[in-house]
Amino acid sequence: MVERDPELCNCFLDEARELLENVEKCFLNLEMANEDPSIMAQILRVAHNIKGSAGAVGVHELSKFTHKLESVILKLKNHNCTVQAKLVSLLLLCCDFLKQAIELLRVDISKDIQVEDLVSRMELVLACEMCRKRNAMPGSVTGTGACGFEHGNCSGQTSQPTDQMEFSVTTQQPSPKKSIATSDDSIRVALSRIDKLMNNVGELVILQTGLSQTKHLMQSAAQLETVTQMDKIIRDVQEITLKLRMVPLTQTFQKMKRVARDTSQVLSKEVELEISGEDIELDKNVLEQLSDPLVHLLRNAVDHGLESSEERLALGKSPKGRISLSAYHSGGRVVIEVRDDGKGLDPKKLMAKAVETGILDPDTKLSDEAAFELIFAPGFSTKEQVTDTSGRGVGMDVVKTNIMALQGEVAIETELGKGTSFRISLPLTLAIVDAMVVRLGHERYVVPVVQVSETLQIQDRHVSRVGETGSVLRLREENIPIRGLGRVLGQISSSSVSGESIGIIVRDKLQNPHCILVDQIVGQQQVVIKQLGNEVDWLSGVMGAAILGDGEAVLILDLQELVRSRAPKIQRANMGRVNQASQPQKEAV
Amino acid sequence: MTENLEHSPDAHQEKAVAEAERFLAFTLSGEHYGIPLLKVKEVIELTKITPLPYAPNYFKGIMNLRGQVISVVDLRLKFKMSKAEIGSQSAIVILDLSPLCLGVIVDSINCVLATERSEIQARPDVESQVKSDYILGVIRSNQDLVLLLDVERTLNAEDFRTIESQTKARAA
Repeated sequence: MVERDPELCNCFLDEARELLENVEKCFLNLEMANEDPSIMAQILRVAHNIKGSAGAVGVHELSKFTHKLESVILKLKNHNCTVQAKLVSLLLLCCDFLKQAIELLRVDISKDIQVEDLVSRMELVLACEMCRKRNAMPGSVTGTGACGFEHGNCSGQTSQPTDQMEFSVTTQQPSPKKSIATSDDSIRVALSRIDKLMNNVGELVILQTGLSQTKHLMQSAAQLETVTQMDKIIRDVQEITLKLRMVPLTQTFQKMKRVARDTSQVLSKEVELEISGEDIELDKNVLEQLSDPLVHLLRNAVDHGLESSEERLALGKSPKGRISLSAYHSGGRVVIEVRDDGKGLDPKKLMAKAVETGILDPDTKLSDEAAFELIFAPGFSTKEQVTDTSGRGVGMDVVKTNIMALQGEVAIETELGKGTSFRISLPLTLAIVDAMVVRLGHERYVVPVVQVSETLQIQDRHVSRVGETGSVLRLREENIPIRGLGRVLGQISSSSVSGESIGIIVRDKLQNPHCILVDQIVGQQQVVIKQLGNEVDWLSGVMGAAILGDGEAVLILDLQELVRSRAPKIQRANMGRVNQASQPQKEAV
Repeated sequence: MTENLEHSPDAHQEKAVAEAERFLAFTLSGEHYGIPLLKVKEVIELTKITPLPYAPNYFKGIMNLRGQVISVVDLRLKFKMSKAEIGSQSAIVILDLSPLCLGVIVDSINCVLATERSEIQARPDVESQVKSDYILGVIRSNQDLVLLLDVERTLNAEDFRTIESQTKARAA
């Protein structure tokens, strides 16, 4: 075994991983834009790069493997072979293999990589006589050669292969060129370092605010100028720091192309995937957890959503199914939509199936919307047979759970025969929240703005007493129970309702309104959510802490959680993990 | 190990350095205490602490330590001593009890004591305000007896939970 230098190897592995991401995109493009020489050239470059570096760090198996791969691509490039779905599949397989090999090497650097199987398949392609002598015997050019691929002829005299699955990807903004340019200008940084940086920058901003407030004491103009200038720069730095965690959706969407392609091949359906909004950015944490739900949604769209080509033709639709995967900003959140033009959801069928599987009581009447929600129930599946692609009824459950954990929502929109769309709405980041700062007594608290449906000055004439301590606010059509924030937080002495009080209307998960009284609304600002330590994991109704402009640490309240019951129950739920704080729990009835 | 040391004075000297332990000495309600210096991250002056709802009384709340949010415990109240008068001497000791990072409020910081392990004596069976489980041992410094605190045992997260649920049960 060759001694491998770990430093060098890690460098190679990082590089290879990035290159492979690019190359996968190229392979997919290849299928779409047949034999574009620039794409070929790029793939060749990547293969060559990996070959060279692998050889240099002593991973000879990989270098041998990529050498073969290079030969295959070269053959393609020289038009000795036409690009076909099957060949692209083989290339993608090679790409997967390389990725796996890279990950294996990352874990254990001295690992041996077995390459026999794929190499022999590639050799078949290379060795195939028919490919080589394509023009020698025109009669035998079509048909399957020894390599298992159909041999087309570039001069155009042969027929289209018949068993070829069509799959194409269109991107609204043409991106291949851009990706070539941006492949190298980024670096990897540990998230913990970014967090540290964020802490320090936050502190810097606080100090700067303090300095700015003493500006009037400064004598010299130069000093004033410096402080003003510093102020601007520090704000800039803060903004940049906050953006460091943001990552574009490009790679996630890239993966989805692959998923859609593979699924459509397995199911022999023709699918056209349309992608838009790849450049929209999300927090890295959010993005990581988004991948699984998207995979499920796409597979579902291909498998359940779209009809087979024959059915589509019979229905007068284009035989090619269309799935669109799009991302866009909406009201401070990012929406990701997976839309297909397939058969749509049938509420009656869903309900029948739910009754059959025992999820739903036969006597229950559900609205159509509620019936659509059934697909998220664990164990629910409309497929009779469990296949590789679907049928276990786990997928949609995963979708819902993961999205909820990200403080997101999933909405279904469907029309029978026209198609279904799943709309995932997500916060831009879990690290920052738009917040309202409120005061109660001497303490300030932070409330996420999304939880506040309205705020108002409480007027005595709108308040009715109920029983000894209770009071109700009559607001428009609704009677809203009033509670002091102090009481909600378990403080014994809490101020009574007075004209001075400010009411915050919060709607719980069932849309029931609650009015929480505070002394004052101090302001509105964005705050960075800091997680509390394990020592306070018993604390419920708190999402974390925030550090305000004057450097004070205050609590970020989860009002929805707090109003769930009069006295918040002690929950062992780990409040340190902010994600879980807003996860819905069964309402106590 | 200790027997060997007595035979050769040189070895004794070396061992002393190796076995020396340092403690941060502080005062709580007139008594002297020590905590292992290696557990101390830093000492800062008293700052604004935000109380937490439903917390046991000794759990003072959270504070901002250069962008990091840290829980603060009042050791006097933890040991059921009389409520601390916050004076100019009061300080917060930031402890690194990984994974926990905690601040504790003490009356005043005295000094750093270096001592040999062999000088640490078993805790005498006298009445102190502090539960004896929390005491590792005692050392003599000048004329004072310094009680060495077992910080991990004193300030473990499990403890906060049980006490918290008791307070809550009583309140309900």
